[in-house]
Amino acid sequence: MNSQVGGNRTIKGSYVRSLKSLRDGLIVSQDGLQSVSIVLGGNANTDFLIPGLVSQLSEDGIVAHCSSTDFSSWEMETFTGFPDSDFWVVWLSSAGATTGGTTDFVLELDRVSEAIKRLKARGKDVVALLPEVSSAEFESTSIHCPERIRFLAACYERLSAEAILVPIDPIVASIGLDQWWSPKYWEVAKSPASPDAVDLVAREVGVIISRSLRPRIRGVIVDLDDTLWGGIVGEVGSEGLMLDPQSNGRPYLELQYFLKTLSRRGVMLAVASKNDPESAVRPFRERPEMILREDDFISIHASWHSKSESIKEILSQMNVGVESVCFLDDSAMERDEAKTRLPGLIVPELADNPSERVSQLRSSRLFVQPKIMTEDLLRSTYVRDNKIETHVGVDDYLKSLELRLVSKKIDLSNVDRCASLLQKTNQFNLTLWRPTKRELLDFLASSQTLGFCYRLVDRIGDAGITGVLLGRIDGDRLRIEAWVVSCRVFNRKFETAIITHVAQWASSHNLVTIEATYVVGPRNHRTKTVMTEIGFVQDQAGDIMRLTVISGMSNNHPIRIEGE
Amino acid sequence: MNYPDLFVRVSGVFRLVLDSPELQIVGHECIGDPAIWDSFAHVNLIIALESEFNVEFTAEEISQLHSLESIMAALIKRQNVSEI
Repeated sequence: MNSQVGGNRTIKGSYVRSLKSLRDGLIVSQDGLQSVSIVLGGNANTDFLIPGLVSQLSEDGIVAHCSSTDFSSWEMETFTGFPDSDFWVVWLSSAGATTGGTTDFVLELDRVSEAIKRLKARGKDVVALLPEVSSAEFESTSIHCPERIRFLAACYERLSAEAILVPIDPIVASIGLDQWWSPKYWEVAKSPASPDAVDLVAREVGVIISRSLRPRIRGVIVDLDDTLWGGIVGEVGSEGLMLDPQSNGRPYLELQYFLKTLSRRGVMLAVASKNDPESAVRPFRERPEMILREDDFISIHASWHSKSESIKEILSQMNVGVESVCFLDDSAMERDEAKTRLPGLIVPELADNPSERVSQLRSSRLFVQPKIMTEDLLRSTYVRDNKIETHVGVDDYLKSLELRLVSKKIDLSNVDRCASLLQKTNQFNLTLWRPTKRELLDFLASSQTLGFCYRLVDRIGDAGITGVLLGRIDGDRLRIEAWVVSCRVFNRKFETAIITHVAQWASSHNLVTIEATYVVGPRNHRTKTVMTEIGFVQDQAGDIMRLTVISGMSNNHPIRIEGE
Repeated sequence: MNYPDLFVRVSGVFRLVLDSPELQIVGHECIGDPAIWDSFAHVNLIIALESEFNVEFTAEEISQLHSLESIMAALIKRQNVSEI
């Protein structure tokens, strides 16, 4: 009855192809390549995921080392098993939960949730593959369907904060149930699907893991004419542009909607267009069909300069590296100019036929964003609003912001963001120590160490965690072992407020001095200047900067201090 | 295709799946001998043979094809290698 259910994409032979690529030595374990250790487990045999997973990651330049838990013992292993792993892939298959379609759906979410929490507490990232549709669900009286759907809803509610959840149904839909389910391979090997279908799942998981190890796309810079709308506004005027959703404007609006969705996820948008500034903004104001509005963009650069020059200016506004930004332009020449002059910029091809562009971008997998950090969601608004407010005088501006520093001890809820900030920050970085998440957790395990992270909040919004300070108690001194501040919050006296907080903490712990050793790097001179402004004094040898906790503190900042 | 040709192709699949490019296949191999032919390798072997010869084995056959000889016999019976 189910032979026509779902799609008909052919996958025959894909598992063996992955197995061959594994054996042919395409997967070369090389020093210098990023490597990742992955544990596979679940309520079915997950070994068939390995060839596709390793091959996919290898294609992305990542060496994967995979291990499997013993069959169905993954929950037990979450207590202490596989200490060196980075990722756990847990397959919660319907095949396993219904014993190959012979029982009611049984998967205890409480236990699953507890096991995933244990993994998170051990610092592992978890990818959970959700129960897939089964052929039994196509019977109108089936009891499988509602149970599975309830389980899926509960998974999103209870697990999405802890794990990257991967719905399997779209994969089943793309190939059809006939190619998905293989009773034979369930019977002989407890594989939740045919090996070729499992390979497809493995590739999807590979993309997800690969994207979560790479810089996420934080900004998209987009052209206007023949990209966001059809036609050239300078020639046909805004009224002559193709923007009718019912006809030839649809592909352009589809791209706008795609970008709008990215923007809601925290990706910053900007325009780089060769146009007169007045013409460029006119369609945003005059054409109600436009899905993207002016305030969706952190900046609209319309000039006759080269695209690469405009992009450079936008990059400095976005405050992100070129490798986290994607440039979309219908002109191959403009794409080439930008790509050549800005190495690292992500410049996907855009089909000449506008109707193909969104599916092309989706299938590029560039925008797969396994984890959405709150900081990203806030960043977009923050950068945009900061731009709006910069015309105000600095002192008045700072006061008007009603700034608050919110401190929190580093714990498992924020350690990912803290490690990421410590690793990426260049301009305000005291010691250039860039601990990984694991090293950071090790550092904080001692009773003589402390770690704080800081959010800067104002009346406009929350800039997220933008400062991290690590310290070590040494007699009556507090030595700062690492201190970074994101350039997003420079010039707000945020650094002074952080030291005020640390000094208060030190004083309450009977410490007298705060010491810091500034390590000179290529881009962090700002750190020393700011420390001198705060009141740190360089010792005679010149390598240590000291601040006396009580008398040397500058309270010259407009920030209210809150938190732990 | 004749028997020696079939044997060469089957040997190639064995070396690939068992990840042993230098493995000498003599014809008397069975599960556990060589030791790397374990139960998981066995399923991989079946998958690779199904793909290589465009045939399907039943679950029952898979659990019975425990030796290279039985695999050769099963392949010979299949229509698409009957020209041997």
